[in-house]
Amino acid sequence: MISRRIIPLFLLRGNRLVKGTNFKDFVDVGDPISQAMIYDAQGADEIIVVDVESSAKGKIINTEIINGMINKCRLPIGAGGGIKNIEDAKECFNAGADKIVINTYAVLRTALIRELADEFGSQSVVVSIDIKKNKKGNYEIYVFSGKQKVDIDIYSYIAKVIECGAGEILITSIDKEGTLLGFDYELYAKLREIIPVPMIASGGAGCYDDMVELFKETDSDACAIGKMLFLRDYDIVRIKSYLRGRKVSVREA
Amino acid sequence: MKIGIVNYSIGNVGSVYSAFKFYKYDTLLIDKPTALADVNIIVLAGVGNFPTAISRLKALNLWDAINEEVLNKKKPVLGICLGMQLFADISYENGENKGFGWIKGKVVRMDSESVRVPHIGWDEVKSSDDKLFKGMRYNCFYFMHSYHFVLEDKDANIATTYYGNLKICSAVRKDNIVGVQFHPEKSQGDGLRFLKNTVEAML
Amino acid sequence: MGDDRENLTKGNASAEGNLNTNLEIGLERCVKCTLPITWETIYFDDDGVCNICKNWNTKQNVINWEGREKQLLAIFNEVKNRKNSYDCIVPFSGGKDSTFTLWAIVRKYGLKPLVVSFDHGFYRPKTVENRTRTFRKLGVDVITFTPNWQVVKKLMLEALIRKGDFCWHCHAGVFAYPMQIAVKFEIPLLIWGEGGGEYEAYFKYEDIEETDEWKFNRRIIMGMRAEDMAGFIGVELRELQTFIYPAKEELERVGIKSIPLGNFIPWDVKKHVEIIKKELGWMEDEIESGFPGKTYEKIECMFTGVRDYIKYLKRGFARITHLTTLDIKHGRMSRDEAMGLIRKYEGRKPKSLAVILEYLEINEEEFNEIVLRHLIPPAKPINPKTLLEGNKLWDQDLWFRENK
Repeated sequence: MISRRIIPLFLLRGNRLVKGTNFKDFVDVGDPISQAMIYDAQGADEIIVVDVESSAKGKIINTEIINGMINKCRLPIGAGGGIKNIEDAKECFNAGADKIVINTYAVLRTALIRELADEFGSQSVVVSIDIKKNKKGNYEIYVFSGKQKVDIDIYSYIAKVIECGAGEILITSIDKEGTLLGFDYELYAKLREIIPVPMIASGGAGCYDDMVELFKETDSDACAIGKMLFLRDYDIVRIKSYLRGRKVSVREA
Repeated sequence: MKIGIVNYSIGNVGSVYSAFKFYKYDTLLIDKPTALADVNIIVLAGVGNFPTAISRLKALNLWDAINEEVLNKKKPVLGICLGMQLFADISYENGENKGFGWIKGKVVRMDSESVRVPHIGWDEVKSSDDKLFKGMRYNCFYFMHSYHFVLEDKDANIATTYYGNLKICSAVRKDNIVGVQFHPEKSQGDGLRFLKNTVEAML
Repeated sequence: MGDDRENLTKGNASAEGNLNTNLEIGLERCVKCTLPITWETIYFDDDGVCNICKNWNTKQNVINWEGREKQLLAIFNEVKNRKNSYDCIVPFSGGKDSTFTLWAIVRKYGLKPLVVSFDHGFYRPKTVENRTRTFRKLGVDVITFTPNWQVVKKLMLEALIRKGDFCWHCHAGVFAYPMQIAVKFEIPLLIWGEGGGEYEAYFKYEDIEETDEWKFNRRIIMGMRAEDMAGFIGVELRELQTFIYPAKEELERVGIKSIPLGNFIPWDVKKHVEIIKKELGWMEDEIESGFPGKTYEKIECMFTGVRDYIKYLKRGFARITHLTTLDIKHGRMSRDEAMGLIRKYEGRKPKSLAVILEYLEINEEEFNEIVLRHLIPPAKPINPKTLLEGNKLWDQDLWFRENK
């Protein structure tokens, strides 16, 4: 049976990885290629690397870094950051990415998803959505790394994304990310009902039981984790051992 | 002994290349028909979709040349993911297109009513082929596909993966032809072992 | 002291002995060996038995040790026949494991080693004595490398902040430096001590484990390599040269094989200690976090006590648990006896904390704040102010002090 995936989420800024809280106050957490080697050796299930500045700068993620990671890491790698058309995606695939991750430009021009899915196959297209709760308790979508709110209903956006052929959907809770206080389980449980493709939960993982709860209560297919790995004393081997003990189906690290 | 990787897409096949280089195999990338004659094993790899793969191979004049080498000269061939699907008679991805037809069967979309499509992640492979799957530590490999190969030629099916209530053909083998639906170059230790076993079995 | 304790554990069931919040609330422990759920890589089966016990079982019953020793002898014969300047490198600290390994290499297997020792800066006086005596009795060539202390201090603080563990330079240096020497001197064999499955499940006994870069990246360097650290502490990579694992191409050029002795012979610590005491006059010492009296465990490093204290604050268990686990596994103690000892002796604040705080240039409040941030649930937070203090080690006043 298919395993739940534990995915280190690399946020790239310049040529170093960073980590923050609620998309702010970033600190350096290492060299992307070095970290890719580490998580490969630790038995992560794949790695996702996104550049947090690209979309705002009108560029795409540094493909040399993608290439450097691929050469040193025998795991699937998804790459994103400022991808807005087929040419941008081609550059990433040429550098060796297995999947591309689109966020801001999928919101600004949703037809992009269909274009990429048709050209490269749905399985290679991950649509990433950053969400924040407003004062009324409703979820809102943000683009440009959490800087700009968009006035689109999240449920209809997701429906459209799926219709356009997205292979996977990565949902990041801006409120939870970097807090180490646990995932937004309610959000993922709700979205699970309308997302028929693999769903990756992101934001808030702080301890082993957070992941146990995520998989058991929300049926997410994967989780993307950051601070817990980079700035706390956890590693993939320990995480997977704990999850196994709690009967979560994970691939051996 | 030379291994030739045919890239039927615009994606990078660097991972496949480096996987073979891990064992120090003499490996090269093939982009013209004359290069095929020099290699002992042909590997079909790349990202993309069925019709694009075919038109690219035809544009490079490789389609007929590969067919000639594999079918008539019996040269060993390994197809990875979409590469394996190219072995089929026909695929229904983005239209209806004919494959090489080396192994009878069709490539169809997985039914999203019964399982989550695409099938993405690490999944178990149950195989009857002890040579190709020799020495595996976990028998768990990385899959990334929306379409799967439904075989008519059931004898060619040498490995199965149970995904929900779907029985996916995860590997085929017939004479000099081997194909896998998963990505051995992305499946860490067991993936590398698989590639080594395949090279040794095919020579 | 007693009052504080009661406040901390008010509302909890038992009140006997030295209360431990995590014990009373029921930090899940293996039914056989008492290792708790917060032990790295542990998990329990449906009967409550941990995977480390199972791994141990494999070691006792499934591994063909005769076959393994034959493999080892074949490897040794091969290097001996090369008749190089050195047959192998033995990475060495002076603790019981590396001392036994060196003794075995020289006296039992008859190889000529180059001893390579990484000086983390914290060898205690008795260990220094043990080392000198061992080297002279066995008659070996030794290289000891001491890294830049100013850099080490930065590395320690950075590792403590990021991972709640200040030992990065030691782990990285101990593993990378001997490999570098092996490449430089073209010595194709390195012999380490115990195998990986002994205390954790990062590696299994069925794997013929090679101590190579995979292990280095997976486990040794705590998720941070020199390339990462250089950026963190703001130095050029060359300042951290010692902590870089040699490139695969270089290792292959020399044809280096790096293996733990413990994967080829069953590791019996008590037996090994007896041997090195008898043959080399190796001496035990007291540590801060163990039982009263002398021991053979982890006596070489000044900061064993602080390490164990941090572990206690993070994970709710420490050295006593570790020691009693081994005794249970070897059939020398019952689980009940173990729990009794844990209740009585575990969780004291070490006097040596003052020294490490001086090295790190932080105060105790800052230290507590950093460490408590690294709590590993389901362990519960412990208030350091409620803990008893241990006794000062006999040699603490001899240690290097910045402010003298």
